[in-house]
Amino acid sequence: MTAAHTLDVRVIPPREKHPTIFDTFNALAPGESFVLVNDHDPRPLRYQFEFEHAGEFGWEYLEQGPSVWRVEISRKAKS
Amino acid sequence: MKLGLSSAAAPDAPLGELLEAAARRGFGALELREGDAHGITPDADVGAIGEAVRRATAAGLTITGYRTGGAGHDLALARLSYTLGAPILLEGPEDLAARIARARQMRNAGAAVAIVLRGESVVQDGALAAALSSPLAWDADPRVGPPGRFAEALLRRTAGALRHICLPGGGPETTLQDGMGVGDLMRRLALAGYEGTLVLAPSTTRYRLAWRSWLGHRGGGGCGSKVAETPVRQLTTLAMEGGER
Repeated sequence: MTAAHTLDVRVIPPREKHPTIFDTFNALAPGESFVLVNDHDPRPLRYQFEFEHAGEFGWEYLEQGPSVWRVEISRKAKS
Repeated sequence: MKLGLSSAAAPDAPLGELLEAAARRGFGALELREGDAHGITPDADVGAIGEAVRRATAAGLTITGYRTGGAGHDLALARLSYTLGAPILLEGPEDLAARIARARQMRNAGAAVAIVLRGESVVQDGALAAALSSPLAWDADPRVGPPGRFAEALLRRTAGALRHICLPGGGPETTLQDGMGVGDLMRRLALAGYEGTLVLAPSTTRYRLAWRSWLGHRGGGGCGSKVAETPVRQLTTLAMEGGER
C-alpha cells in the first residue's frame, strides 16, 4: 500500500463533507489510502461506507479523540 | 497536511490564550501575524522567543510561520526566523520581485523565508518564485476563484515549493462557505499529497466576535452528522456586533 495522504474535513462545509470524502475514495487506486481527520468519531460515515462500498474499503483508527480523530481509509486491492 | 490557526483569529489574545484555544480546537500548528497581541515581535528578546516556542511545543503546537508585510527590519526578522524555527511569511505591499530579492538577502542571513502569493496571478507568480528557489505560501481566498483549481495548477507548477496555505474562512465561517470550493480544495490537496500546513484565518474582521466565541468552545461542525454549533443567523449577529474593518 502506498503512503497515505491527509484529508482534513474539519474546514469543509457540512453539506460538502461526505461528497468530498467519497470523491477522494473513488479517486484511489486499489491498495491506496488516505487519512481522514475529523473533530468527532466519524462512525456515521463508516455506516455509509459499509452500505455503499461493502467489502471494498479498509477502516483503521489511528487516533480516537478527544479533540481529533484520524482514520486511515483504504481501497482494498482486488484479490 | 497539518491544520493550523492564524493569530489573526484572535488578534487581541496573548500567547497563552492563543495556544490554549488552538489546542482546545485540535489544531497542530500556529501562524503568528506581526502586530497581534501574542507578544512576538522581530526585535523580541531571544529568551522570550525561545520561551514561546517551548510553550507552543508543550501545548502540542508547531509555530509554522511568522507573517509580516513590514520592511526595514530584515536582520531582526532573520534572527526571529531561526530562533522560532519557522519561516518568515513575506507578504506585500512590495511587489513580487522586491520580495524575492528581500527573501534572498534574509536567507543569506540564515532565515527561512516563504513568499506569500495571493490573487488571480498566483500560479504565474508561484512558478516564477519557485524557479528562483523560493519556498511559497498561498492565501487561498475562495472569493478570488475556485481554490481547488488554483491549487492543482500551483502544485504542478511549483514542484514542492508550496509549504504553507492560509484559508480565509473555516471555523465559525464554515457554514457560509457552501459551494465556494473548499471541499474541492481539500480533496485536491489530499490527492496531490500536499504535506505542508493549512492555517485558518478570518476572512474579514467582521467575524472577529464569532471567532472569539468559536475558539472559546469545544467541538464543532461534524462530518455531516452534526450541525455547526454557531448557526448562520447567530454568526451574522455576531459579525454585526464586531463591525467592519
